[in-house]
Amino acid sequence: MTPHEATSRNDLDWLAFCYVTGELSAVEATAFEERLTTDDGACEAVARATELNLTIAAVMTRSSGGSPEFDTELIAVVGEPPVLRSVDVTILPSRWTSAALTFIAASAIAATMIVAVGSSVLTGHKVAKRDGTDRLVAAWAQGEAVRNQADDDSDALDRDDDDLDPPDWMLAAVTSEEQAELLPSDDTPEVREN
Amino acid sequence: MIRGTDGERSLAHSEDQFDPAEGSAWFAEFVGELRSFLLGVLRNDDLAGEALQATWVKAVEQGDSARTETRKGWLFRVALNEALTLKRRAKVQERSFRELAQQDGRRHESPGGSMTRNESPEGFVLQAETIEQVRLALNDLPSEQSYVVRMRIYENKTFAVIADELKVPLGTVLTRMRLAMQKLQQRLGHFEN
Repeated sequence: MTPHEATSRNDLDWLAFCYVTGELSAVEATAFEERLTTDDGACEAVARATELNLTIAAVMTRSSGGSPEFDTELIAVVGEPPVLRSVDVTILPSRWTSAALTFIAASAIAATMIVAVGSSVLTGHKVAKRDGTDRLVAAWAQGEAVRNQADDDSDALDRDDDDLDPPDWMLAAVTSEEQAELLPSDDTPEVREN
Repeated sequence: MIRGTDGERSLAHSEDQFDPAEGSAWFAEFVGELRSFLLGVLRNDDLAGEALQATWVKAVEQGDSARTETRKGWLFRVALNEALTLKRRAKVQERSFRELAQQDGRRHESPGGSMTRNESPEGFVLQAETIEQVRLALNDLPSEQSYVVRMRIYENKTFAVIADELKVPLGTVLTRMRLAMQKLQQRLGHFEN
């Protein structure tokens, strides 16, 4: 369909939409611009198409509250939803997303194990393993404190908040410990406070 | 022939009977639609603003060359002329509608600088009422249509890419998009002047 063959209002609106979104070929776009010099209706159609597109973009930006790239990334992970707007997308940094997925998987395994193992046994292991996790976190915090002290001498105020995030290796370690603490163990006696 | 070109400026000045305030007033009547039109042609907020400014200058200086009943058409042609000149002169960095919509939420001043968009609600491209109507209309669309609308306008993917990702024929994507746009335009009857 050439631009000049489009006569009805719907055809004109569609043609204008294709023009403003850059879907027309160079030849078609030039022909349409030629039409704009004489056809007020075509000019109005361009204005309508632009206004509608801007409004749609504004609505979707507000409803998503984040970047479309992340939406695509999440869809790639969980599979394409049958109805997009029913998906409740929560914006998380990617590293936290992967940590969360790991944690969910670990929790599922843990839930199975809880059924199989008595709660009293779990309590003992939990206290012991928690010590290990705490030591890990404390060591990281100590390292951060040393680094912060060094930074204070120079550009401490310019530090990015991301620096305060626990590193990925710690998230992985904590998650694996969380998982391990729920498993029965024949290890050597744990170090306990009491 | 497009009226309001540089070649006609001397003629308009020689008559010197046109009240610039009158030209500015009827320019203001169509400024919202003109701005949307220019954004559609240029897809660049800065250049659209520049073309709008130039159109306003022409309206003030040469508005007497337009008859009352053709003023809107006269403005469209002046604006198009300015836009195409800018497009040829500079390699236009076209932006997605998502970027333009985000920019639209920020400050915009009309040509002349005396009237901000907040002071002139009729000049807004995006009004709260319109946004709400579009949101409701989008909710009423079949999911396969709203999905294509989202991918094309919000994610700025071409129809070919959308067809490839959805693994459906290009014609199917075009049909879905066209039907969706028809429904949205029909729902928003106030767009029709």
